[in-house]
Formats: sequence, structure tokens, C-alpha cells
Amino acid sequence: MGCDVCGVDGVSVHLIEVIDGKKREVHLCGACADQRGLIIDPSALGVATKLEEILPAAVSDLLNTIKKVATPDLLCESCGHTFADFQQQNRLGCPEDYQVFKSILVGLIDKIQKTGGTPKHVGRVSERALARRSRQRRIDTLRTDLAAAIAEERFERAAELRDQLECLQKPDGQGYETR
Amino acid sequence: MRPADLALHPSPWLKTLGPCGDVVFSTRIRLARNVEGYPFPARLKEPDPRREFEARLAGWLGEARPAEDLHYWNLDGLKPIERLLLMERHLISRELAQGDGDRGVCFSSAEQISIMTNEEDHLRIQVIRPGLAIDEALAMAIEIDRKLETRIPYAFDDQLGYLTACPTNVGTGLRISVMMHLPGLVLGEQMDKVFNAASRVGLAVRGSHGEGSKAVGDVVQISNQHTLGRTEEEIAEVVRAIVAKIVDYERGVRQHLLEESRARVEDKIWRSVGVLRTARLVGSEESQSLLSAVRLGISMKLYGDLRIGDLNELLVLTQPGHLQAIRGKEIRADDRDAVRATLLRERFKAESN
Ligand SMILES: [Zn+2]
Ligand SMILES: [Zn+2]
Repeated sequence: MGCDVCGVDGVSVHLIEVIDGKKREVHLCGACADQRGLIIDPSALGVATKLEEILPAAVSDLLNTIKKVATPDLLCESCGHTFADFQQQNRLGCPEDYQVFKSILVGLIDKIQKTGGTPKHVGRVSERALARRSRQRRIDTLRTDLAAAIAEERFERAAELRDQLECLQKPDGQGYETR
Repeated sequence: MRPADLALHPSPWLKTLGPCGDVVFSTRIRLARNVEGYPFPARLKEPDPRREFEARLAGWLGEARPAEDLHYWNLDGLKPIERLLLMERHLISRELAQGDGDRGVCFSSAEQISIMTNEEDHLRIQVIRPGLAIDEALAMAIEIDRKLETRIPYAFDDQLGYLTACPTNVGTGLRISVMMHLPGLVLGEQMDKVFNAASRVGLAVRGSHGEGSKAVGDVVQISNQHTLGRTEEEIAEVVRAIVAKIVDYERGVRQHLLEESRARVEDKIWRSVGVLRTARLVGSEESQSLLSAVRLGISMKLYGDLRIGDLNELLVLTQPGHLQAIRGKEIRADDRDAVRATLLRERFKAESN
């Protein structure tokens, strides 16, 4: 049997990967396995990178299938990453890319993560996001109250509410988490 | 402390026999986290922005003090052997060991906590525990995550969760990996059971075993592939259930082998011990295969001179980085086989009269 990478006879390492229920066998000669750290960093006790190495293959397959609909020159102004960069590297450039490429990414993420149509995070929420949400809730309530106060011509109350709103909406205002 | 100091002793937890330690080496939890407003590491330009950001991360880690007794090393200043040593101890990933530029690791003296900086993501929080201990490891990782968050503004999206450089990690950023020793299933040619059980619920199975002997390592890693759309607990539950099932399979097969093919199993174990006691050259792959057989022998009470924890240590100490770091110099691959054989002969002779 020949090595899947270099074709040399004398395969010494077999890897079996199961991705999405599909089993794939990879046969490598000692040298190629060594190069990938499969021998020098063997088996024993949990190595961080092995899984990460195969997953991007799944990403690139998916990327190929959506190449036609994607806009390769779509650009993130913050970091300079284009959608073409993402297609090439299987990696995003910065956290903001998720917003910039959202329309395309959402479908892709749904396929990768098997979220059944709509990717939605249901796990733990960062403290800052919680603070942001509660601030937003307070803003929403204040707006409703303000509208009601104006409708009822309680202008003194309305002025108070407006001040509170402005304070909350200021970037460094009360309740806004600063970096 | 320098990496060479680490080389003298294996990671402290290796010797501990965790829950299901006869079948499960270790449980590892990883949380991927990034900082809002900064490009992911691959996009951080070298040298200056990357250097400044690495220093900033190190500073935040120092302020947040997510655990007691942490050491931080910038890997850019370490030798390749030292990085290999850290990798063999599972304190850093291969990507971090083999990468370039400013990147670091912050780890506890007990070596159960390690936080990698500027790997694929800005931060990778890792907790490793002996045996099957998903709940404990996850709880530890979450506690560290909470403490880091008091200092570090994480990139988080309400719909997509924690944002990561690769969309395969987005959401919880959680990867649970359970490293299992399955010599019984390999010997009994029943590894298909493992693949079937795991793939049905979307888990990845990775294993390596050599042709002929079919037994290099007999080690398989079970991990979740999906990180979004499930809670951390739901992800843990799936892994926990499948690993428990595989543990049962493996124990069942070992029992069966003991009842039906005792001579064959004993022969395999004692032949391995014989080679370990006498060989003058032992390659990396061969040593794992032999040690795997002995580890099986101990769990079946067919060999009693060493304990499972000793074998866990030997599996690490016989790796190239450790062999070289202990001697403080590079050793050519051929010479390593001799050094490894000497180490193994000493260990197996000393305990057995
Ligand atoms: Zn090859
Ligand atoms: Zn960007």
C-alpha cells in the first residue's frame, strides 16, 4: 500500500477519521506521519491540535460549494480581510468579520454546525453581553415611558426620562461598560 | 522555572488514576476566546502589533489571576526542544509549538490548567484531568473563563456566541476531548463499535494504530465536532454518554479475552515485557505499542510490577522532546532509540528483580 501523501510504499500509520458520520481512512508512511507530528506526538494523552487539523477540511469543502454565490471582494474595513481571504485560509480576520460577512456566513455556519436552519447560540453568555442586554432593556423601557409621558403631556416627567436616556446612550455613560 | 526543570518530572497528574482510568487516559476541555477590537492572531502583523498584543494578553492574565501559581512563558524565546517538551505534556498544541512569533502559554504548577495566547485564537483556555472527568474539568474551565472576563473584553455576538477565528469553533468555543486506551477492542477487532456509536451522535473519533501489530498506541480520541446551537451541558452529555458506552465495551472485551483467550493475551503482554527488558534499540512507535500491551496487562491483573500511572508516565517520558530535554541537548533520531531503550530497560528491570 502506498502513502496517501507521498506515494511511497511501506505505510506505517493508519488514521481513521469520522466526520459527520463519514469514515475516512488515511494511510501514511513513517516519514509523512512524523512530519505531521503523528509519531513524535503520539496517541497517549490528548493533544490539542489533531481535531482542528481535520475540521478545516470540512470547512473548505463547504466553501467550495458556496463559491458561486459568494462575493470574493467583500471587505472588512477593520482588519482588511476579504471574503476571498476567508475562502483561501478557512479563517476569519477579526471578530467583526462575522458582521461584515454575516449574510453568507450564517448559512455556512448552519451547515458546519448542523444547527437545523438557524444558527443560534444557546450556551453561556459573556458578562459584557449580559450587561449590554440589560442596558438595552432599560433603554427600551425608558423610550416607552417617554412616549407615554409625551402623549399624556407630562412634560416635566418627559424631560427627566430624556435625560436618563441620553445618559445611558452616551458611550461613557452610566451602565455602559468601558473597555 | 525553565522548561528543562519540567523535564525531570512528568506532569504531576499523570500518575493519578482518574475515574475509569483503566480505559480513559484523560479528559481535556478547551474554550476558545477572542478579544473584541483586535484581529485574530494570524492577522496581527509581526513584529510590533503582535508583540504589543501578546504583552497585553500576558498583562491581563496577570491581573485576572485565574488560578494560583501560574507561570507564563513567551514561546518565541524558547528552543525547539523546549517547545516540543511542552507539547508532549499537553500544555501547548502543535500549532503553538511549531508556530512563529510572539505567542505564549500560561500554566499552573500542577499542569492541569494552561492558557495559550495567540494560538489560532487570542486565548485558548485548557483544563486537563486524569481519567473521565468531564464535569470537573468543565467547571474548572468555566471558572477560569469568568475570572478572565473581569479583565478581558471578549468578542461575543448575541446570535453566534463567542466569536472564533474558525467558524468550526464559534458559539460555545468548547471542545471536549476524551483520550481513551482501547487495546481490548483493537485486539478483539471491534473498533467499528466505537466509530458507529460516536458518529451516530456527531462526535469525531481519531485513532492511530500501526499495520501488522495493529497496536501502536491503541489510543483513540473522542471529541465533539459541533460548538454552536447546544449548551455546554448538552455537549458534555453527549460525549459523556458515548464514552461511558465505549468504556463498557472495552471492559467487556477485556473480560471476554481473559476468559476465552487468556494464553494469547498473556503471551502478548509477556513478550512485550521481554522486549522492554532486553532491547537495545526501541523506536517511538514500537515503544508505545509495547507499553500499551503492558498497560492492558496491568488492568487485567496479569502483570503487577508497575502501576497504570507508571505506564502513563513512561508513555510521555519516552517521547523525543522528553528524551532530549532530560539530557539537555539534541539527540539524533537513531541515537534516541538507544536512549529510549536504556530508559525502558532500567524501568522494567528495576521493578522486577
Ligand atoms: Zn509518505
Ligand atoms: Zn476583520
